[in-house]
Order: sequence, then C-alpha cells, then structure tokens
Amino acid sequence: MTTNWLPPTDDQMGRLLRDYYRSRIPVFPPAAVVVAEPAPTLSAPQRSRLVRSRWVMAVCLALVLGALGWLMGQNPAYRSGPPAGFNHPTASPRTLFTPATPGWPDSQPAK
Amino acid sequence: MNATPPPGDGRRADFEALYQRHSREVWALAYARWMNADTALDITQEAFLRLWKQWEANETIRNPRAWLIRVARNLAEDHVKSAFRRNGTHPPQLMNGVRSEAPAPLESLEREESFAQLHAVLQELSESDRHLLTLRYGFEYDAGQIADALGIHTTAVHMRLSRARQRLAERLTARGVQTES
Repeated sequence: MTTNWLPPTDDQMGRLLRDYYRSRIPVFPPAAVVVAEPAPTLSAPQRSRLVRSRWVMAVCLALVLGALGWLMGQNPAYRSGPPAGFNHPTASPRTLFTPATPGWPDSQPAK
Repeated sequence: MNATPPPGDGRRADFEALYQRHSREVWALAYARWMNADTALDITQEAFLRLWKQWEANETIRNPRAWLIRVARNLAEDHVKSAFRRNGTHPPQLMNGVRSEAPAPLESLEREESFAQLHAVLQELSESDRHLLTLRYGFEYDAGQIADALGIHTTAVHMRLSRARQRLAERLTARGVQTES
C-alpha cells in the first residue's frame, strides 16, 4: 500500500538540502501586492495641467515656426524658382536646345 | 475552484486562496528551471498577475493550476531568450566574486561554501530532479502533494525521489562533499 509517508529528512544530505532551500526560498508577497496597480506619479489635476500646458506649447511652437517661415519667404534668396523677369537661356534645361525665340539671345546647345 | 471567476470580492478571495495554494509550487517549477530565487519569484508573480488579468477580463479558465504551470513554463522560456538577448551566450555574472568588506564568521563561510557546492551539483541534475527535490526539501511536501503537483502516482514519487537523492549523493561525493544518506 502506497502512503504519503516519506523517509525522514534528518539525514545529513536531507539537512543540507533543507538548509539550502531555506536560504533560497524568498518571502512571498501577499496576493494583493501581486495584483496591485502601480500608483500614479501625478494626481489627476496635475495631469490635466500638464496636458493643457503641452497643448499651449505646441500651439506656440507652430506660431513661431509659421512666423519664421513667413519672414524667410520675404527674402528673395529663399524663394523657390527664378525671380520675376529673370530670363536666362540656361535657367531651364528645356531652353538649352530650343531655337532662339524673338527677344531672346540665340540659344546654343550645351557643350 | 470555479472555472468562471466570481464577481467582486469573491474574485479576490478566490484569487488569494489560489495564490496561497499554488504560489510555492509555481516558484518551485521556476526555480528548478533557472536556479535563481529572484527570477523564480518574478516569474511566479507574473504568472499570477496574468491570471488576475484574465479574471478581470471575465475569461474562463477551466483549470487555474494547470494554466498557471503552463504560463510559468512559458515565462521561464521567455526569460531564457531575453537573457540571451541581453548577455549573449554568457549568463550575467555581475556580482560574482563580490564580497563584503566585513569579515564573516567561519561557520557562515563554511555554510555558504557548502551551499555553493550544492548549488553547482543541483545544476548538473535534470530539471525534473530539481523540481522534485525543491518540493520535498524546500516546501516539505509529502508524497501525495508531490504526486498531485507533478501529475504522477505516489509510487512514482517514491521511486523518482530515491533516484534523485542517489544521483545527488554520487555527485556530492565526487566533489568531496561528505554526506550520509
């Protein structure tokens, strides 16, 4: 008949094993600690103020970048394309091999 | 234990009962795999946390114990992969050889030396032997409890335990650690 009884562990190896495991087995935290949600680092009013301030910062940054872009646009050097009235045969590659048109100097093929 | 989680306070009470009943068993499984107490505790807590989240989502778990064991095994394997990613083929040995400046009593030193030798020998045994020895000597489970935990017959528990002790004794003797079985 098989029983639940096992030989006693008071032999030397058993003692060594028991002491070894006692030194290794940790203190198990309560179940409530295992499933506890981590406490928020900010309170709800603090979080809403932080979110609001981030929106304000984003709007200000957009305004600053928009103003900077407008200022740069006032300088002709930053505008894309040739300025008004600029006509040079080499300004556009498409004009390199076209015949001379009235008012234009004779266009020469690129060497 | 109901397969469907009870609502509210009943759920928490059932979870605590389940935790009390099976946390050591899950820890023993994880410790047998990794031979690291802190890692085993992390795996245990993560497994129970996932069970709690399943219950919060009103998921039905037919056999919570088997579910926990399976999750713990998977977490232990994931830990292996993440350790490989962090450390390559070498395990972390950050604190190896670090000693306190305070002198330790001789008895404490001898004890730690014995534990270190035993730890090294246990790592040479199979994971199933380690699991068995942890349940028997760590948590002092009887044959019926071990049989229930491992899903085997009590006769097999006696046989496997005897063989595990024999293998352990042979290796300890080979290392010069005298024991009397």
